[in-house]
Amino acid sequence: MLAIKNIFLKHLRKQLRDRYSIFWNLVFPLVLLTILALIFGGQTGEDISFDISIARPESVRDTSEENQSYAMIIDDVIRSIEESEDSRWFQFHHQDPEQSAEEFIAQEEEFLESGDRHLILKIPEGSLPEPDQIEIYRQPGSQLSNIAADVINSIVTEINREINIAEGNVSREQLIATTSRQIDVSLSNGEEDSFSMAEYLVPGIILFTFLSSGVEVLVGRISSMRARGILRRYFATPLKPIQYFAGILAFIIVLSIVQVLLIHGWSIFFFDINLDLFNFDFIFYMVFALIVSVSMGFMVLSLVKSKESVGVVTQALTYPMAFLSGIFFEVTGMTGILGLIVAINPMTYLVNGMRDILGVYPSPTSDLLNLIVPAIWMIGSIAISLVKFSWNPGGDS
Amino acid sequence: MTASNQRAIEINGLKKYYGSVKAVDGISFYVKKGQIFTLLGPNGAGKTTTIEILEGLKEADAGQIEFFGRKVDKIGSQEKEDIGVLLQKNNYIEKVKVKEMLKMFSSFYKKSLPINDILEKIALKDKEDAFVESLSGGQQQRLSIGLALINDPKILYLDEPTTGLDPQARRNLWDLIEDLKNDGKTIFLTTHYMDEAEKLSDYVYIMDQGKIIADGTPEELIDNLGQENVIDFARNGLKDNKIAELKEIYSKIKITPEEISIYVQDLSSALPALINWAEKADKKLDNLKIRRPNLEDVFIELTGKGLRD
Repeated sequence: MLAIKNIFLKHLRKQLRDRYSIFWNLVFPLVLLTILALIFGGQTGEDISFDISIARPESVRDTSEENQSYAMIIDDVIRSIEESEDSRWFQFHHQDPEQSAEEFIAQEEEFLESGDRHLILKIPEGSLPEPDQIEIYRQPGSQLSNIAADVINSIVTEINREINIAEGNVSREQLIATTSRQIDVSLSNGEEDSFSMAEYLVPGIILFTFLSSGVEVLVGRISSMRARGILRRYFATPLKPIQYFAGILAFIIVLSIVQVLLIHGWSIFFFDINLDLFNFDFIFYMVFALIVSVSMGFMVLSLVKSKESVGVVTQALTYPMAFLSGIFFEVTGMTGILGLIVAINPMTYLVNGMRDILGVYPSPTSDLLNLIVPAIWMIGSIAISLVKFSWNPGGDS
Repeated sequence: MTASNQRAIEINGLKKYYGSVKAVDGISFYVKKGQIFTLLGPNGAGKTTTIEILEGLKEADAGQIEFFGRKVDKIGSQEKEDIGVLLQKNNYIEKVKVKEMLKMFSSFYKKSLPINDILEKIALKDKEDAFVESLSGGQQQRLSIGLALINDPKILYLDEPTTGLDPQARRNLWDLIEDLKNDGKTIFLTTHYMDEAEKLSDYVYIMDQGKIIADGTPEELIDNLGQENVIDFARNGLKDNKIAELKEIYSKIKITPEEISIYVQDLSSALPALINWAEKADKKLDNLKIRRPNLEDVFIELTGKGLRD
């Protein structure tokens, strides 16, 4: 046990004494998270358009001036948007006159799930001053759907404010308080939180650090010590390989825990988001992801013996795994060879599972696949390592 | 024959093959307790494979090993508790302090010596808080010996301990190795350096192509050459016909591109004959030296090649 502790301490000290390692293992993930969140999160280009379906119950189809309903006001707003310069931002889909609101919503929900709609808005029944609640159906895993929901909420809030002023319900002094009152919005899945790019990225960055620690750090350290004959020297003592493995694994685990805490702290401090990273399911996924990464690291060490080649092979493995998995950005539309890499990449499934558990993005792949594909990689890597791995330089056993 | 209880290690019929390559081909020898035992051989002779089997880093294909009176199939954890090792390559270029390195290695053993005692022994007390990467080559090698001593071993394996060191660092390390012998340690040494082997060794085994081809004390091996003296001089482009003349005069001559060495018993007759030949051949005897034969001469006599070939 003392030997394991000392091997762990040796690797920890090396980490803390090396500025390069501190930057790449601890600071860089935060820099990457920030840069990516700012680049992708700030993407408000003019090519964005919201597809919004308007469901209209029977009782509010007559929006003539005689019927001073809340529905009429909403209708006016929609029409004015359609006629204004801002219409390029919105594509409204109206209900067929023969359809009931329920039929239309059922039909449009399918489009919402497939990503062809970003929002369904059901115009409320009832008259002023106490209309029913507006119902907004959104897809919380879709960034645009959430943005559309936020926009509609803002519009509804503004409408309420104007109505209150027009009706003289509140004094100008009271208005400030009233404007923050929101009409209750019932979302199709009951979730209230809105999407943010940083939330989307946090699980990906955590997985990226695991891939980096489990493959690059592990492979770098062991291959360097193996090539320099230091491991042979260790094993000329009574130290057993399993003890050395336990020591370096303890270091990788602690490094990973520190990385997760730093990313979590940074996401709270810088992005004001607080994901529940420490629930059992997510911890399970993190441990699973780390085991998969470490086993792939040993597979690389098993198949590539020279210190020079091992670095190249590690990067050739980890870079496509990181960039073609959805860790940093969406990859669902990729086809051909890139699509194939995405499909066989264990990181694709791990990040899908992690995001799904945190509720920041629904997994496009099933829960079963999210476990099975990485597990196949893990088992395959362990099997190769058991047969081919050597602690000695050049693979001599 | 030495009594078996005086033997640190005894091996019989040790073999290690890599496919068709017979790295170690059925060798047998023993090492007496408290002695410095040297295994000599050129690169590829099989000496590193032999020492690695005895260090527990490799397993032999065949043969018996007796370790301090106990027969073992291979050198395992139990035996490693009593073994100190200095490998041929000790590249500890790391941001780890000398003291931390010793402490870590001490934790690999059930018993260990106090770290301060080791630091004193290897004269690195003032460097205990220095990073290993900042040590000189000689200091790193002393640290390597310190790591080999941390468990107070019964036997030390030193595989080419002074390779790459400057002359002063080599001499310092020789002093340390002799100190260890005086402390009662059994030392198993491999080296390329003849002066090192002659100075340090109590007993020498010469190995070539996986086999032991001679053994004895350095003096015995040299005496067995049957020659008292060696006359060396620079070849300076001497042609083959002139060399042929020399071979008619002297029965044993070694010729390299740079040097000619003549092995003789009686200098009083051999030297005048050489001077006569030089005058007739109009050849200057540059860098003329007369010396005693050494282990390199023994090795060349036995194998026909130099130790570093």
